[in-house]
Parts: sequence; structure tokens; C-alpha cells
Amino acid sequence: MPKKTFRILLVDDDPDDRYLLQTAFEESATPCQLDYVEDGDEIFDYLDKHLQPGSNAEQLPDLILLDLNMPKKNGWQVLNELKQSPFFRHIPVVILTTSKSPEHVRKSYHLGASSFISKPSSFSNLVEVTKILGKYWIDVVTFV
Amino acid sequence: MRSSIVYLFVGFFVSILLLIGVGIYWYSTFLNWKKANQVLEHNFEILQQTEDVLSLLKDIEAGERGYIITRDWSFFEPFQLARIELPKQLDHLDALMADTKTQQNRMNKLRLLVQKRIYYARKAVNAALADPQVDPHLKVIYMRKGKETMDSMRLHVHELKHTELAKRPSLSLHKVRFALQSTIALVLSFGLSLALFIGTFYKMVQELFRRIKTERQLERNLTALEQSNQHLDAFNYVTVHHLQEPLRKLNIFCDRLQQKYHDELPADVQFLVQKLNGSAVEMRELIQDLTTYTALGKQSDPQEHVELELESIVDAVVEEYAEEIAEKNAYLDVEHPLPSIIGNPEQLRLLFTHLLANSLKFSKPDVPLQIHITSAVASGRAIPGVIERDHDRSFKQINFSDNGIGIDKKYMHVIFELFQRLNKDKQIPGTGVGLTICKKIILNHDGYIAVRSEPNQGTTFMLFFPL
Repeated sequence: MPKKTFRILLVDDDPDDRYLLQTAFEESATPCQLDYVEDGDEIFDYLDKHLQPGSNAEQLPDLILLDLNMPKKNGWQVLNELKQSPFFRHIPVVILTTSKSPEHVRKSYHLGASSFISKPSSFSNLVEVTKILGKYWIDVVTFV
Repeated sequence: MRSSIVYLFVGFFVSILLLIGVGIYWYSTFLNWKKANQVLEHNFEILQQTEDVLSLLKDIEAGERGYIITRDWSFFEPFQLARIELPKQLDHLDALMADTKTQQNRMNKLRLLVQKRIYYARKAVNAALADPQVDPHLKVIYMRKGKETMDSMRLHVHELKHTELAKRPSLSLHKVRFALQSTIALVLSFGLSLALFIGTFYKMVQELFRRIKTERQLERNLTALEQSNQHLDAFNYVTVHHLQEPLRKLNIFCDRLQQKYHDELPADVQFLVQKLNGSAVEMRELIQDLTTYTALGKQSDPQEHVELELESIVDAVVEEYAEEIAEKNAYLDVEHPLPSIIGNPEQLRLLFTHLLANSLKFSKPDVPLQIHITSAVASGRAIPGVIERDHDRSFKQINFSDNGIGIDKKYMHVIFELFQRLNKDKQIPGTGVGLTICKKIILNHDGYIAVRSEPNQGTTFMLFFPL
């Protein structure tokens, strides 16, 4: 059976960050499909659309990269809603944010985040992060 | 505020003095008044007694005449009673006037006259009882003598009475004067006390209102301060999350540009991109230091201070900078053991990090860097810029000395101020916040920081922690 494509959903309101991450994923040649939404409302529209009859659950993302500092709903509110939902709670969520505050890290793990990554300040480090993400979530961890 | 309190004290003191003075004056006036009253009453009693004596004398005369005319014993009865009663009443009158010589003389004469009068009355009665044929004139003779004696007595009693009566107006005047004086004293004291009371009460109320006003102002200020602190927190958050973001992206984009087009970019463009990147890095460091500095203001709760081995903190910082130390070929001499200090571990670590970074930064390029960390005990008086309250306190002194480029005398007073980069040499990185952070940490520990430096010789930072 051919391996299905690994889907990553990026939730970030900042177009620059979205562009950089996309470029970094391309640079690292991570075998995945990267989609993005811009805020906490859009993510649920996106996820609901991929749960429509006719489509199947396999179209749901395999990993969500979530920014904390967003307008409308912040990252923790989104994370909390995801983990409360019986349809989406199984999707691992990696926090990708500028914060390094231990308090923010603790709160994220408490709400059910799978990992917490501080956004690097150089492009090469960002490429490194995407490589590690791909290596871990696609090669090491088994996904369905 | 001080003057109004002085006014209150003086007001109360004066009113108490006034009340005591008026009280003494009023009491002495009252005693005088009482004495005058007694004298007057005594005088009245004498007059009354004189009247009684005169009345008894009249009874004697009436008894004598009544009996001689009617021969009825019942008319003689007043005579008998008066004869028994008179000596007693005379004695009483005598006693009342014991203090006046002239009245005493009059009394002695009156006694003689009374005896005489009784004698004549007896004689007259006896003459009347005897055979009228014996000598019908004898009775009349005695009665006439008796009348003469009586007239003489009346004259005496009148004189006596007159003398006493003469005293009355002056006595009454005396009494009235005392009464008037005490009334005036009472009214005056009441008036003055009332005036003082109202005055001090007014001052007190004024002071109270002033204090209430000040208290309200303080409360308002406190609320404003809390709000301003909240705004500062919000500002910190904004600087951390929003000011740093564009800079981070600037770094990344520069990085990407250099990586992707490395071979295609002309050398001068590469140089410009490098400059852009450097400025962004510098700005980010500055914001980070500022954030650290403002955060220090909030974390200054002495309740969270614990006892710390300074040596382990210094060791950890040295380990962190091992690479730079090796690079500079620096030699570190740390006194063993360093004392323990009660404080915040993160802040003390930050303090030594900045001191060490400072020494590494400002070392002489051609001479191996030497750093000495020593300790001592200092008295408050010896510390430069110490406040008076700390003069008699003892402090643990930690000296952090290096043989670096030193600090020019003219900059000594500004080195702990924010953004004072004395060395404009771009080769030496820095934000100008480091020593300000050190001072803030020392202040959070209720201590002092001082510096001693010779240009081209080295610098010693002296840290003082209260014992």
C-alpha cells in the first residue's frame, strides 16, 4: 500500500512567518503537504470542511503547527477547543511561537500540546526545525 | 503640618493653665465670700440676741408693773421667767461679742444695770406687798428708779445694736463684692475656655480634614501607580512580542538573502546586508536587556530571598563563560570560600554575569585579563553614597576587580545610568544597560554598588550586601 501524504496544517496570522515556514519546508525537502489558515476561526472551518460527508477523516491534517499570539482566538483557546473536540483531539499539536516563557510552555503542555518550539531567528535554524519536524513526525512516529 | 500640631499643643497647654489659674482664683474668692457670709450671719445673730435680751428686760418691767397694779400673780409670771432666762441670754450675747472690746465693756455695764433693774423691781414689788400705810411713796420711788435703770438699759442696748448695725452695710458690700468677683471670674474663665476650645477644635478639625485629603490623594496616587504598573507590564509584553518580531524576521530575511544569493551578490551588497543584520541583532539585544531591566523592578519581593552560596553562583557564571575566558586567556582568582548571601538566585546570577561580561568586554587587547573576586566586612559609614539610616549597619563586601581598560574619571558618575555606553568603539558589543541592571539588582537586595577605577589600570566594582 502506497504511503499517504503527510498533511501539516499551519495556523499563523503572520504572512511573513507563513512564507518563511513554507520556504523552509521546501528547502528541507520534507515530504509533506502544507496547508495554512490565518486565525482561530478559520482552522475550525477548515477542519469542518474536511469532515464533510463524502470526504473522509483521512483528509484531516496529521499535524497542526499552532502560533500562540493571534487575533480573535489566541493559540491556547484554539488548542483547548481542539482537545475538547471528539473529532480533532487525536491530531498532535506543536506550538510554534516567539515566546520562550516557561509559563507559556507549561500552559501549552497542560492544555495538551505535543511539543513547544520557539521560532528561530535565523533562516538556517528554521530549516533545521522543519527537518527535525519531518524526521520526527513522518519517519519516527507512526501516523495513520 | 508641624506648626498646626505646635499650635494645638500650645492651645491645650494654655487652656489647661488658664483653667487651673481661674480655678485657684475662683476658690480663693469663694473662701472670702464664705468668710464674709459667716461674719454677716454672726452680726445678724448678735442683733437677734440683743432683741431677745431687750424683750426679756421688757418682760421684767411689764411683770413688775402688772403685778403692782393688779396684785394678780399671773401678771408676775413674765418677771419670774425673765429673771431665770436673762443670765443665760446675757451669757450668750457676751459670748457672741467676745471679740470686741467696746461691746464687752457695754455688756459689763448692761449686766450691772440688769441686776440693778431686778433689784429695783423686787423692792417695788415688796413695797407694794407691804402695808401701803407704811410708806405709800416707797413703791413709786422704786418703780421710778427701776424705770430710770430701764431707760439707761435701753440706751445701752440701743448703742450696742447701733454699733452692730453700723457694721452691716460694709459687710454686705464685702459679700456682694466677693460674689461679683467670683461671677466675673466664672464668666471670664468660661468665655476664655470656650474661645480656646473652639479655636483648638477648629484647628483639629482643619488638621483632620487636611489629613483625610492627603490620605485620599495618597490612595488616588496608589491607584494611579498600580495602573501605571499595569501599563508598564502591558508595555513590556508589547516590547517582547511585537517589537522583537519584525527584527527577528529582518534577521531571517537577511539570512535567507545571504544564503540563497551568496554567489550572485556583489561584495558591497553583501556588506550592506551584513550591516542590516547587525543592526537588527543589536536592536533585539537592546530590547531584551530593557525587558530584563523592567522585569527586575517587579521581581523585588524580599520574601522570596533565600540563603545562597555565592561561590556556586560565581562558579556557574564562570562555567557559562568558559569559552570566552579561554579565548581571552583570562585568569580568574576567586577567594575561597566566598560568603553566603540572602537573595534572589536568578538576579545574583545575572549580576555576576554582567560583571564578568563587562570585564571580558573591556579587557586590554595586549595584556591577559586578570579578575580577582574577594570579600570583606564593611561598616555602613565606609560606603560611598550611603544613606544615614545605614551608617551603623554592617555589610558583606564583595570586590570584583580586573586589569582592564578602566573608566575615565569624568564618566564615573554616569556608568550606572541607562544607555550610557561610554565606549563608542563598535568593536566592543553592548547595549549600555548591563551596569544599570547590576545597580537595580543591588538595590533589590537593599545593598550598594560602588566603583573604583584607574584608566588603563583596571576597575574594581564593590558590592555591599547587608549582613
